[in-house]
Amino acid sequence: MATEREIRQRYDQAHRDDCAGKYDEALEGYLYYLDHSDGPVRLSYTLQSIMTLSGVLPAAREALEARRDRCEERILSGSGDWREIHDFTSFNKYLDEKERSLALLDRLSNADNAHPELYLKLLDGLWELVAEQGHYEKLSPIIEKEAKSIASFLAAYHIRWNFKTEGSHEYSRDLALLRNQLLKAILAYQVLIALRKDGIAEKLARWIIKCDPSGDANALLNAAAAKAGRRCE
Amino acid sequence: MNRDTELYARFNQARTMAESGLYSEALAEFLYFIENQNSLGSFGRANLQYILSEIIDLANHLPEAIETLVLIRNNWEELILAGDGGWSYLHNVHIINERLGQPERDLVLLDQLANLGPEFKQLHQKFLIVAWEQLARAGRYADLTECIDTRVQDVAGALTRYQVQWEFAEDEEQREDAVNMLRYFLPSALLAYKTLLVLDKDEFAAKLAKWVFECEPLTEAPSLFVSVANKLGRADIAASLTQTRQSLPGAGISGNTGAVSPVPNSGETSQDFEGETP
Repeated sequence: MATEREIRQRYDQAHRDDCAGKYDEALEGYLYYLDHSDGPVRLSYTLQSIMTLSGVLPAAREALEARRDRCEERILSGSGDWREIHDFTSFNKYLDEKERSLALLDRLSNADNAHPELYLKLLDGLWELVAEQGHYEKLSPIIEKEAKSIASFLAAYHIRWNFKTEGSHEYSRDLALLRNQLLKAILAYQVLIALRKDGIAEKLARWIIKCDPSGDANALLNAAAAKAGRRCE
Repeated sequence: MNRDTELYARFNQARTMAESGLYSEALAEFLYFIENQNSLGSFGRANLQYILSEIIDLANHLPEAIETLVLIRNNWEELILAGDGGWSYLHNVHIINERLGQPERDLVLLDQLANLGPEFKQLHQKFLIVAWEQLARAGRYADLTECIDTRVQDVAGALTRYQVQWEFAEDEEQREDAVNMLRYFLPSALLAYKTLLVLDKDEFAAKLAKWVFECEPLTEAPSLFVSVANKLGRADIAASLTQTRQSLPGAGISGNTGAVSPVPNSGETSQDFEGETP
């Protein structure tokens, strides 16, 4: 059995092959990494690299689709776990087929669904898409937990940015990450307000205001409340 | 059953052995995880601290458990110094030293790495990050010039994470757990604060203090920070801290919201930072 280091070396080799125009070899290496690693770049850079390869090598996309389809079968048969859910949503994200994730969510939400825990896990991974579609009620079982996690990340991103020197590359990067997290937090606030979970909404709003670097938080929160059909007091 | 699930089952079985008094058998099982950690993937990385804790607990009944741990630690140190041990070995050695109450051993290894030449520079820098509290406690602040900013972010991040947990707690137990964790990290925050002031990084020190003061259950924090500033002869900073505290919501509220006893960190307790002001 290969060690994590050996698996990582295959990834590095695939990247070198990719740069050298050896696309078939590169694809083989990326797929090996995808199938064998637990590494942090597995569902980000690796999938990005495979999809970039698909521009010159259609087999790259097909390989990803095949893995996505196998994931879906395992989830529907009940043999999948949270990893499968994470893989499935990530594959669809990079394949630009998010609707496929939402379709599976609908299938799992049926009353006769025998795997409610997988449904909740999938809902957890897709909550932003569901919120953007205005299906707030669906998010009722998970949004409070989500809000807590978002507040925690928001504070973490704020700290990362807050302790950087203004003007540095890291400062701009961390500010962008913070703004991205703020948008996520405001969307969660919108869901909470729509569901009349005002207590949690208020706690999240306090963190949004505290971590907002631009001073626009109040206006954004008001706009979110209006979208949710309520006026912010 | 995937590999991690199998390993968890085996780990839990080893714990059951220990609870049943099968100490030697349990030790052998725990050693399996340590000896094979590099091939145990995410399980090995995620659980080493727990496994080491189990072995240390076993030593209450089986003194050779500690001797075994010392041998393992020494072996890892040799691997590191021979250039065959990477980041994970450094971290493991640090955990064992911490659990055995031998933090000075980290500093010895750190100095050995510093003297080994440029090929060990990266490893040395990584170990500085791991062993920063030992360096600060030893008064070796200059060694921390490069890495203290990142450490401060980590400490502030940890405190804020538990502040969020405290605010969003679903019951009293969660709330108490969060307060305990806040108090666990408070000594690290004070140590980081002291280091920043000694290194004249006043701006970051002020930011750290503000984050800590905003952790509502840590009502004792402002006076401890003021005490640190005063002990360093920084009356200007102490005055500014008082202003910061007064400007925050809830200023003037006294009393302990969490009503739990402080849980000491492995190093100082918060009380170590209390004391006379000049």
